[in-house]
Amino acid sequence: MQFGEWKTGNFIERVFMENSNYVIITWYQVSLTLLCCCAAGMLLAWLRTKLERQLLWALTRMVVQLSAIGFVLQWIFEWHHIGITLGWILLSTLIASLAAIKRIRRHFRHERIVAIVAVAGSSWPILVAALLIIRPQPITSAAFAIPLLGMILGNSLNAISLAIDRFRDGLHQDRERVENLLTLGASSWEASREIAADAIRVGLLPMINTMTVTGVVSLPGMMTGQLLSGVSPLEAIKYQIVILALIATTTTLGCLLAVWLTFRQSFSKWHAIIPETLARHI
Amino acid sequence: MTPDTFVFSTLIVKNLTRKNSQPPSQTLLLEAVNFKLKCGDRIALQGKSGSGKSLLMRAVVGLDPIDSGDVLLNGRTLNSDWICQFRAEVAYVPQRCSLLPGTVRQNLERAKQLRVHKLKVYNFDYSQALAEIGYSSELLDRDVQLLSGGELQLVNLLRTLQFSPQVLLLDEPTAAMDVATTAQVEKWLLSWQAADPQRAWIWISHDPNQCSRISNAVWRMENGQLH
Repeated sequence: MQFGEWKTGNFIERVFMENSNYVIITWYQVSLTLLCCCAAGMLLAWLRTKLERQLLWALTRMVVQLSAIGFVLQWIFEWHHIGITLGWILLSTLIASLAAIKRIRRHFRHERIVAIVAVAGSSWPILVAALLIIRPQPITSAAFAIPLLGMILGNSLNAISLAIDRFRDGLHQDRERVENLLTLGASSWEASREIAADAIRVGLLPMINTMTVTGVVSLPGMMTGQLLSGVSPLEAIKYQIVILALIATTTTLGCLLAVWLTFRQSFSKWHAIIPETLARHI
Repeated sequence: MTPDTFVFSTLIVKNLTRKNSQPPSQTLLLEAVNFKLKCGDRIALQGKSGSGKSLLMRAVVGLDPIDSGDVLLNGRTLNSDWICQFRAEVAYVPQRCSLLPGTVRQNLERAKQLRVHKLKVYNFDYSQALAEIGYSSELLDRDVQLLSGGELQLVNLLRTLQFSPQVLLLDEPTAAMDVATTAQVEKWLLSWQAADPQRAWIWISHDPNQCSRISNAVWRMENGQLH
């Protein structure tokens, strides 16, 4: 199957037709796997780990959330309206941005705007580029754009979150060193360049590690899903390479953008660190 | 371009005010501070802990924000456009020093790569300066992680003075040094100042004896006010 042949709406039916070895999972089979997980929870309860409730709660949430998203996506794919697709992209970008900033330990002014700009500024251009390169028919296909964006966002938000957190924490830990350089006449960028480089490294490391071991230690989730649904391995790896290349590009852009914007918000125009106590009031 | 291009005449601080930004307190940390530092001045700044001495020095060089007031160097009002050049000439030496990983020499040399100093030519002899303070030049090749608090302060002074600033704002620069080293550093700084009569400093110190040794005038800070 070629990327260009990807049709919206009835994509799943096409997969059924083209891949005769696809195994349809029934709700009965789904419930059996959930029972296995419940059994694992009972084991936790028997060992008095007090984790069984958390496991069951997470399991319930996962089932409810995935079911809900399944129905919503089914509706969006059938409806196939550009406005709904764009709305979905906006909403998921906003949620990813807020999730990215929620995990940082040291807050700063305009942090939400920084996260939104970093997430959107890195993922949207790459999504557009991917659509232009792959050219699904039609190019605004929700069945293509939405899962692709989801994978890009899921990875870039982690990288952006790690990079911002590392930069802010590094600035806090090395405040004296940075200020010592500033007193010598260093610009804020000269004084914090090493912290920024370290933050970018920390943000990119998980992605680099993942790419390094992909196919050797583990098979990525999307590729596994395609293999299970009957797509040939040679087709599946093409998708996987495309996805990982897009993720790597987005993550790199996102980290650079996030660290640059966080740097800009961490220093005043006087080349001085904005104190954390003032961060919320400026 | 040589380091002697800039000739200091006055550093004027006008109505420098800083409020406590953390609500609900609206107390003044710096209350309309005014002073004029002229070339050749050696000022000792005294005051209780928390009276605002360090905050004043940090505010003058723009490291801490202010609510109102002006700083003028040679009659030119300080703004954010030339703050880096200002700091190169009006050097604030904080009490605590943190260096980059590596040797002392690497730290001293690395500071020369800053954009504001890169194109200038400095003829500062580290070994000679250390000898004047009673230290061997072996200190230059020591890892900064092995330095004591006093040695860190000494390296910070070397790192600052190698750029021949015209004004020094010294925040207890010998607080972590022993008595003998303190005396040597004082002597060294006095001879450094005497070498160029334009040079001036404000030296924060809690020791009245030190104040009398290193200054020709004493200012006092109390509750954010300068007397």
